[in-house]
Amino acid sequence: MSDEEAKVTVQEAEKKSQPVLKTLRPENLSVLIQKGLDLGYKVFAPVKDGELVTFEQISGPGEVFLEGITTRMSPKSVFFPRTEKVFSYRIAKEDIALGDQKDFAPPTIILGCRPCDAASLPIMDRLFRWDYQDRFWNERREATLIVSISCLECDEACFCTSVGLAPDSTEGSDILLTLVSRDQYLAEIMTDKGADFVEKTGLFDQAGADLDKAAATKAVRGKLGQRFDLDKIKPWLDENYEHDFWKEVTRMCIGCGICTYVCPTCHCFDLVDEAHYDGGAKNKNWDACQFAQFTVHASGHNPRPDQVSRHRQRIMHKYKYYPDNLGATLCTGCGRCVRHCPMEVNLIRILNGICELSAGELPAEAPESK
Amino acid sequence: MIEQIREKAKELLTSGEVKVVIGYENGGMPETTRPVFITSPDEVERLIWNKHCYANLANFFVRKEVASLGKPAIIAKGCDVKAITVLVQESQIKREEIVILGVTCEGVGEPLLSKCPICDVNTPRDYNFLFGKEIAPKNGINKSADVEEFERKSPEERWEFWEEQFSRCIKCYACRQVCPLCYCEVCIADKNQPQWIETSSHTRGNVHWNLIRAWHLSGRCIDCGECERACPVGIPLSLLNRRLAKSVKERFGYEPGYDQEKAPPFTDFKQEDSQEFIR
Repeated sequence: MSDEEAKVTVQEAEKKSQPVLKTLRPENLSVLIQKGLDLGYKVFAPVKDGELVTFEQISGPGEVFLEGITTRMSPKSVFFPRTEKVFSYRIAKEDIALGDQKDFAPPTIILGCRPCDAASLPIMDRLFRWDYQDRFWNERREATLIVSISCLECDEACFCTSVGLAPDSTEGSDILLTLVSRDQYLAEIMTDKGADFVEKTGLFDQAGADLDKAAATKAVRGKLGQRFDLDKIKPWLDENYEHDFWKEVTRMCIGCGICTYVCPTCHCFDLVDEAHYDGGAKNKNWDACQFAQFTVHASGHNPRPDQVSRHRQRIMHKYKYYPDNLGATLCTGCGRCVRHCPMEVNLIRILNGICELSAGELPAEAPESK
Repeated sequence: MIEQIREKAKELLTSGEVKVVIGYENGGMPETTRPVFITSPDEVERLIWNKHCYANLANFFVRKEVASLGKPAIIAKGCDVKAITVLVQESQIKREEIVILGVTCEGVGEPLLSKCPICDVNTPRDYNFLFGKEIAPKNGINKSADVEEFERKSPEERWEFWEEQFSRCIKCYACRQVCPLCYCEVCIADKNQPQWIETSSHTRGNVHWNLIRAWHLSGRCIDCGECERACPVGIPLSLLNRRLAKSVKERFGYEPGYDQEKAPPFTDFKQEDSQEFIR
């Protein structure tokens, strides 16, 4: 596959030239979930457990919790679990029996995805469908239907509009639902996969021409505004691998993996052997560039010897290397890294600082988020 | 109070007595603060103090990015000072090489963090300069009420509870990184020849990591609660820490962080230590 072909994502390959517009009554959302289950799909949706809202596999619509902004963890784990067996083996008397993974990509629905999370999937397709074809990711992507719901609320950590997305972006969604009035979701059906499902459920109605998605999300767009100027970030990063700015803005980073693990687009993993005397497995586990161990060579040399270089790596990867190599910003502005950092490192603050530096105005003091 | 802190910070930086003041600045998001490292007297206005100053800044002493700045002064609550005391006892820092700007504290967070109602160090037990009105320590606090309640459950119920809790662990190691007393240069979880702790975040690997973390803090954890605050998946790590603290107190009459001169139980042998478990 050539690089150009590789950049055709799963969604792009299946995408309809024009989205089909339909409507769904809010009370029918539960019926839709039940239909999905009855049709034999595994359904993942936000579930509330105490204070924590995460994507879980559900067995009935009653478990679903659709309030709030983003879930704590992104739905990336449906395609890329935090730990999974790549293969296993057993050592018998004469030979070794390999256990290949099977049935890892059953028909699945992710329901209640936010547009920022849905948008992360085609961005990561570029990597997992690049030189090496990651069959776990790719087969699950093909078997999964993404039903997203536009955001009507945001918080101070959200910044989708600053990375070229919006609270009602359709990127990555097979079906995007936007609550356009109290008794109507506008359904934008983006792919054949989505259209097939809509037809199977029989729950969607023809949309009238008067439905206005932009009006429904206008308020939240206004609140989001522009938190920084994306166009200024990469040119500055291209020139400033070494800069005292990195030291100043990352000194409080303690090197935990929260920002990367809650991130919908961070995708680094480690392959580890878990061996026992009569067999074992090769596991693919989440890993993070923030860990000292991440880049240690067998010689003991560590090319990223301090937290400054590790934190710079995360920002460089998202806003320079990934755009350079795979043509997309590796960030959807979900804000999780900002929201959950125990030391308030705050990516928005750092990107703002970069914008100020690139404008040639040294920030008077610590660059604050705006 | 913050005016006095800023003034003292300015004085210490101007005289050259310290090279950096480790404190808190506004975090940008609502109800947040961020650790800040003030190296110039002109920047002391950035320092703030409020009930969102959660982070235990003692964490930064052992980080080379901060240690390289030179002699530090640190803004510390009573619980943070307990961590400093343990770091001094364990020879990680020298007491005379740091300046403690102690702040009296009536608790952080809204609602208060779980450590605050059972705090008896509202006035820090060690400091070079104290800010805020002294608060007398509360008497008769039961620090392990939550542990006692939990222990009324059957062993099966407790195991089920922890298995459920640990199943959420994503192995981000924030509990370790945020802990002022997890300062090992190479953590056992990072040793891979052999791999002592499985890195996979399956049940076995998660239970393994969470127990070893707590175990390594027994007799040392000063209940600053930073691990629980940082945990992105809400595992109640303080409950585990307090359980171990309860055992250490019962067996050795020892609470870490209160007395620099008192030998920690795991570095000390006494003939009269209870030994009924050796059979």
